[in-house]
Amino acid sequence: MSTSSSHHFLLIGLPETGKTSFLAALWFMVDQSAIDCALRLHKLKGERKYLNEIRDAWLQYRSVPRNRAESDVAVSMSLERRDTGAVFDLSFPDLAGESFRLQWAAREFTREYDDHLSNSKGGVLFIHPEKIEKPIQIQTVNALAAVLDDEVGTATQEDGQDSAVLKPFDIEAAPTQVKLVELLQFIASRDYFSPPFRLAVAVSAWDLLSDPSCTPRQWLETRMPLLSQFLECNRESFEVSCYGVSAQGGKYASPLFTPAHFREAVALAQRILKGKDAFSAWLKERMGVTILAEIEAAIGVPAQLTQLLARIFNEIIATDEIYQYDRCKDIKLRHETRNLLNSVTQVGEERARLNRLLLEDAYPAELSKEWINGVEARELQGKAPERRVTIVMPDGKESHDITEPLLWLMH
Amino acid sequence: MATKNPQEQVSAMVQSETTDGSVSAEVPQADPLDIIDLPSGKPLNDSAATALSKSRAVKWVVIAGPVGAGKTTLLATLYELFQSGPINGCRFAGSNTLPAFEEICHLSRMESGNMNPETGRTLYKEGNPSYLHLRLNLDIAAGKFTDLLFTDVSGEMFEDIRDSEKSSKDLVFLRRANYFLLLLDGKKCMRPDQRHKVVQDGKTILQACFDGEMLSKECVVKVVWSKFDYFRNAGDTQEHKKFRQETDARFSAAFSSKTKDLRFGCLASRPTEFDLEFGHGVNDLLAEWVGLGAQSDAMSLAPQIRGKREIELFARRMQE
Repeated sequence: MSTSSSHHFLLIGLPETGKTSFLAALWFMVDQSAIDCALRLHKLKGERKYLNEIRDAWLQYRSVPRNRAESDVAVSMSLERRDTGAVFDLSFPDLAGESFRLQWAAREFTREYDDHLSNSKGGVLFIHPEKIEKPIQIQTVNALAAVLDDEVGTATQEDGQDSAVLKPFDIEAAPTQVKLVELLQFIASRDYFSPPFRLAVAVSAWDLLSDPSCTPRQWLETRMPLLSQFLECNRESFEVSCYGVSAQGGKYASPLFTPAHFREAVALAQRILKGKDAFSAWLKERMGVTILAEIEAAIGVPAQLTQLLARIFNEIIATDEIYQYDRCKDIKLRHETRNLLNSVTQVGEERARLNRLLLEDAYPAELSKEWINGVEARELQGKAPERRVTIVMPDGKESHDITEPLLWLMH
Repeated sequence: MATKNPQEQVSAMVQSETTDGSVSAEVPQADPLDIIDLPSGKPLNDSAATALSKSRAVKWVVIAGPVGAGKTTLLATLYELFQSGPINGCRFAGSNTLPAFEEICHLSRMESGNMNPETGRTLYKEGNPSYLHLRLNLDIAAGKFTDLLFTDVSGEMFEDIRDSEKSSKDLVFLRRANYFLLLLDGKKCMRPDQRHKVVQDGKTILQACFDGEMLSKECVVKVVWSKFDYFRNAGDTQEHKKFRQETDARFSAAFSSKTKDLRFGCLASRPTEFDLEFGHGVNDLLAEWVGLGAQSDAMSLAPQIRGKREIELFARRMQE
């Protein structure tokens, strides 16, 4: 009989950096006996509702519900190493990115986080390459402008100052690397901090990088130099290993409209303005006099009209519960729409997807059925779930075992 | 700037809404008892700086000069340079005042809405200054760290000490300075009617600090032409060079006997023209602050004093 030990790790990262997607993919992978994964589920224990929810969203190629500060979730898994049979409990709070943002901005964290931190021997720091705020100096922009066109550069400097509208200092606008350094300094400043704290740096959405040939460490050095210097200098406090992580495997389709999705914008506008069918009548009422006047005014300017419709429709699909029997009874619903209608709980992103389908069914000639990232999403759906995950190891080699960073943390 | 992808835009739109359709507050208020306050990251006050100096060896760097001489701009530039990578092998290892650095950089970044880079003016506060902190590493293998505490002092405070012995005696923080950097405003020196006042003001500030016995003999003193780009933009003529040499000579004559180490230099933290690199001269200063330059090398930084005028002969004797 194997003896059980415990490992506590933190998942650290600002909002929308891939923490929950990683957790969702991990929960799927450890539960698949046929997958070559170093860790497997030993037994089900404790509360699993949250893990199942995020895994289901991941399996259905939907954005994993983002965790917010009010919903920090302590996650625990009883796992077994396939090579040694060693059994252990792996626990990490899935702390909302929001709570990390507040650490920087509000200069506080919760006692609960402090407890987690005091129990943790290490953690995974998530960085999303597309979510990096970088400081852009006016000096640099002006220099570039001067190179491109001396006259334009001079004009900008001379004429621009008078019209500049200065914004007050906003601590939230600080560069991402500064915020992350501060989060790590907070960790290292606690009385109980016992170095070295193992830190697996996970550069998420690695598959979306323009230059995926570099190693994750090289990426960190070039894209986040301040953080890289900090980690290099504080090796005694933070033992670091860098990974590239693609937990999602590609882009998901988005139900949002773009102007290009309005194939027959004028016809659509006129149907809404007339409001003859039940659905259009509801839309007309929903939009109100002001918006209808804007639409009417834009009918002669196609680019303006499609932009306006995209903005209005996006607001509607995100906020409204479009489906009601009376207003939709004359619409011929597709099989896909009916399926979703029967299964969704009409909340969050599910509702947005359903709303988009309903609008497409209501205006089949006027609206495109091609979604943003639709092609990539279809390619992604062709992959087996376990092949969606790619981990780029510190030496640049690829693996499909999402537990690699955790194995290093436990080593 | 990072932008939301379409998927996130939907998420953001749907998550900002509550069940009753109203827009929710971002995060519910937590019980205050469950909240742990973290360091503010604001400039350190005297007691916080002193506490830091007791926990580890620090170097106190006083940056002096009248209002607008470029004191805060120098600090902002140093911080911005580290955002792009190590400076001459010197690495950023941490800071207790990151938000404070961010704030002094604000008006020089695009997000401020500004069209030309600026630095906010440091507010005048009576009494002790506040400090900005940087922890740097010169040799990772040897774990060689240097903690620098920079004064963040309004120029008015230094202007006051020109006029009053009491004011200089009030600046007790000067006594612990390891490095005293005096900035002479190069931009003002472009105007013939201003340049001699700039020099005289600088001399008086330094004189007042020494006469008030506020600076130790061990303290390195460096006199720097800030906004050096203005000299360059004006062609840096023989007249400019002569003016600077004579000024340096005057400072040498006046202060070489009062400090073991008097240095001179040029600085263009944020050059207005682009033939000088951003932070011109900052890496030299940093090298001196972290102690890369040996004492003998440092002395050689003083300009060769030439000429036969009495003051130049005296300065040369003092230098020798």
